[in-house]
Amino acid sequence: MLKGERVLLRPMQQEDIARQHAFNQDVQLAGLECRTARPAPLEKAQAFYEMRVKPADHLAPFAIEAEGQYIGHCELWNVGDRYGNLALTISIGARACWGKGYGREVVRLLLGYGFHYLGARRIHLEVQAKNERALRCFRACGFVEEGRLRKEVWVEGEYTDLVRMSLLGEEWAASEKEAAYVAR
Amino acid sequence: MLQGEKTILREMRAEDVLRQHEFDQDIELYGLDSSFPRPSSLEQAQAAYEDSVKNADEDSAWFAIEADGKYIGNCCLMGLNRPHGILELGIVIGDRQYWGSGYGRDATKLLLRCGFHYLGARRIVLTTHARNERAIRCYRACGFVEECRPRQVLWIEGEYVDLVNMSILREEWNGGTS
Repeated sequence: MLKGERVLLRPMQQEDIARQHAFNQDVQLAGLECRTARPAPLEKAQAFYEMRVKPADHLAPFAIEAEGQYIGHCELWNVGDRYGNLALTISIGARACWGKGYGREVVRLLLGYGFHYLGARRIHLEVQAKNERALRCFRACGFVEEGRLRKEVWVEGEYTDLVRMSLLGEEWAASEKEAAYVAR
Repeated sequence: MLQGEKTILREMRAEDVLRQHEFDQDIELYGLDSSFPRPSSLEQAQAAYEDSVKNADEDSAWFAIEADGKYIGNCCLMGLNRPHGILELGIVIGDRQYWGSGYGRDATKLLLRCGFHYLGARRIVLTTHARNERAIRCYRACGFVEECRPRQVLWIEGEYVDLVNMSILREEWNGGTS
């Protein structure tokens, strides 16, 4: 449905469940995403799939495809919010696809979708302070750090800050204009 | 239940509902409280009271704030059942006669004592917004640190306004000695 140079954002399919189930077992990934690390049965991945293919007014869920495979998922939340205040989440579970710039491509597609197609006024997200790869990705996509909730989450042995970031529609539009100018 | 210098934090009582309903007619309070201004019926005040009574043992502790023998507002600690000792504080003084005289500070300090001393919190957090300067002054005076300003989140009386996230860590709390 949304196509980048190397990634495709599409609806989740039943065939993706097995790979998502494998990602769910990665205890470090849980820490990066501020999830509680615990064993996740196959039924959890199945329920995740079913939740995503059911129509929902407030949620736009995508599967991320790259290199011909399902590599993770991303979503915009609060779609249709009266004040245009949307939240963004992204999870690339396939470790072989880390550090290749897929995340940036995905986030930029989501931003275009949210601001251009959905009329968002602001898009925000949260990320724990030790997830530096994610922080770099979001900064590169224009997100501004708004502050840090101190020692908010437990991540691998210590209480860790939670970083809040946002991007306003006018900031996104300005960066898009600049990108178009550079491209010319 | 908790006695301060100017206020008492005590259980909510059915007879507080009428005064709360009066406070609910003050449209400016909604903006200060980050909630939507809507006509608010006596039934809603009653339902809110019943909800606060019912949920008191579950995830939150609701207190009535009393001063000079009167109900002047309410406050709460939420998140009692959440892991990692993070409690969220909320407070509203609905009676305008008690604004600007330190009643909020007194009640907030009592809540901090309740959270850190009696409930063993590790961190107490709250959210207000940038235009509620009286509240921000109160929280700073009680030891809260501003940690984040999510930009232009709330619509309040004519414009989008930043949220303000504040917190106080257990080790920053002075034990209620000031």
